[in-house]
Order: sequence, then structure tokens, then C-alpha cells
Amino acid sequence: MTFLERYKYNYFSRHSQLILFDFNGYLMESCDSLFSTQSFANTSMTSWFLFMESVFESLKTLEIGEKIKFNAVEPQFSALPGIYDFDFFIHLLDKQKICCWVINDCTEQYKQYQIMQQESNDLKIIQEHLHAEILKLRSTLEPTQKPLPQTSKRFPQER
Amino acid sequence: MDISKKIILTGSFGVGKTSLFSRFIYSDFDDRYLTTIGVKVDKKTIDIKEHKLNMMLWDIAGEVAQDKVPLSYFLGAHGIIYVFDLTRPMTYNNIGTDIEYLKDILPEGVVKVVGNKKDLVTPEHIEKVISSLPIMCDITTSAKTGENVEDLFKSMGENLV
Repeated sequence: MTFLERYKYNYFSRHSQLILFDFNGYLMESCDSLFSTQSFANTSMTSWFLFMESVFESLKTLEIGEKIKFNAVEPQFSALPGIYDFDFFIHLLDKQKICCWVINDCTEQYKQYQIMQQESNDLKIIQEHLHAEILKLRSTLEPTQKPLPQTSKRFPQER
Repeated sequence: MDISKKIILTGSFGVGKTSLFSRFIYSDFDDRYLTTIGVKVDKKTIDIKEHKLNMMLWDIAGEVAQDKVPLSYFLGAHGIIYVFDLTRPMTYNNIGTDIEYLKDILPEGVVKVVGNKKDLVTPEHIEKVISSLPIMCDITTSAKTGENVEDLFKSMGENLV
């Protein structure tokens, strides 16, 4: 392995974990980069991972080759305390249908995005309240008074 | 008998989905508005008739239009709680289109329409807003005071069992 390959491997393995499980929910293999699955080896994932409990029946309906993605999941699971993208791929291994679960730790990126989204949403809510106030004031104006200026045609958010 | 059902909390941003989620699951309320990114998942078990109902709640990021919510979030869902803010017309101006869309993607699901933040408005205002909607509002709630929050989830549970 070259230095770059080692660097690349270490970089990605710090942010991603791959888990293989069967359609009874039992672990087959895990690289354990983000959390150790050792203590969960003999129990169905639906019993220790709430997110899996809520999607497992749907995953079972997927066909071989199908994949499904869940972005920005905060799983309320102590071993995964951040924000993650989950990808599920259905494969055939030794004539057995299995699922590959890829966990990507995107906490840093989503935390940055959250700051921007928060600012944007706060501003939109203030705009909405101001718009409502302008409409209220306009409706109370005497007919002889000069009307308030029109608010932007693009406001509020149009679909 | 134990039953598990997946329920999605959806609606525009800042309407109080996370507050309803926290009030119901943790009996907690925080006045600060903190935007949700993606989805938070948690569970609460309630007794409905002779059943133990595991309500798996998905609190998802608010979107102005429901067709912007990733479809994968709705996969396997049994119920949807659509929340709007009684103080902000922008959050219910497109409610008819949104509900139609949600019923299309989850035709067998139970959909509840909820007007939240009732503690901030008068009963007359609530009446005016509800009568202006093109669809029926199932319940009005206050995540802040807790008013009708248990009733909302209990009623959803009863419809799902």
C-alpha cells in the first residue's frame, strides 16, 4: 500500500462503517470503524437499534440490486451520537439475500449546514411576521391616508 | 399484544414538530427554536385498548412544500402528523395541496392535521383559521403547555390499532 492509499484508507475508515446483515436482522460482518458491534453479535438489530426497527420490514421488501438512502439521520443511539447518512444495498451472497448497510458520519458537514439553515429559517419567520404586520396596518389605514408600499411580489415564499 | 407503528411528523419549518415530539416522548419543552436537519427517530409505548403500541416517531426537517421531503422517509410509515403553526399563514396556505400529496404517497396511512401553538392565539383566531382551511383540522395543540398533545398521539394510536 502506498502512502496515499494508506492515507485514503485511514481517512475514509474514520468516517464510514459497513455492516452486513441477513434478513432476520442478524449481523454477519462489520468493519466496526465507528462503533463496535461485538456485544450485538447474537441479537437482531431491530432489538438494539431503533432506526432499524422502524425500517426493517420495508428493507425486506426490496429486491436484489435495489438500494435506499436516508440522509441526515440522528439515530438516538449512544454509539452513534452524531448525524449520519445511511445507505442500504440488497445483495445476493451464497444464494442468500443480504443487506449491506453503509454508515457515513457527516456530523461536521451537517452541523455547518444546520447553522446556515437556522439563520435562513429565523429570517423567513421574521419576514412572515413583518408581512403580517404590514397587512394589518394597511387594513387599518384611513382611505384618505397614503397607503403603505407594496411588499415584494416574490414574498412570501412561492411554490 | 405488542404492535409497532411508524409515524412521521411533518409540515413547514418552525411549526413545532420537534417540540411536539419532545413534549410527547420526554415531557419536555424548550422555548428556543432549533432547526431539525434530516430526521430524528425515537419511540414511546402507549396502551391502546388491550394492546401495547410502540409508536416509532420520525421527526423530520420542515419543508415549505411536502414534495421536497425525501420519499425514503415515508417508506413503511403507517401514520402522518401534519403540523402547521396557527400564528403563521405561510404554514397552512398550501395545506390542501400538501395533504393531497401525502395521501397519494401513503394511501393506506392515517393522516392527522394539527394546528400548533394555540397558547399564542385567541379562541376566535383559532376558529377563524380552522374555518378558512380547505380540509379538516383534527386537533389544535400547544407543545408549550402540553394541551392536547397526549390526546393527539392517543387518537393517532387508536386509528392505527
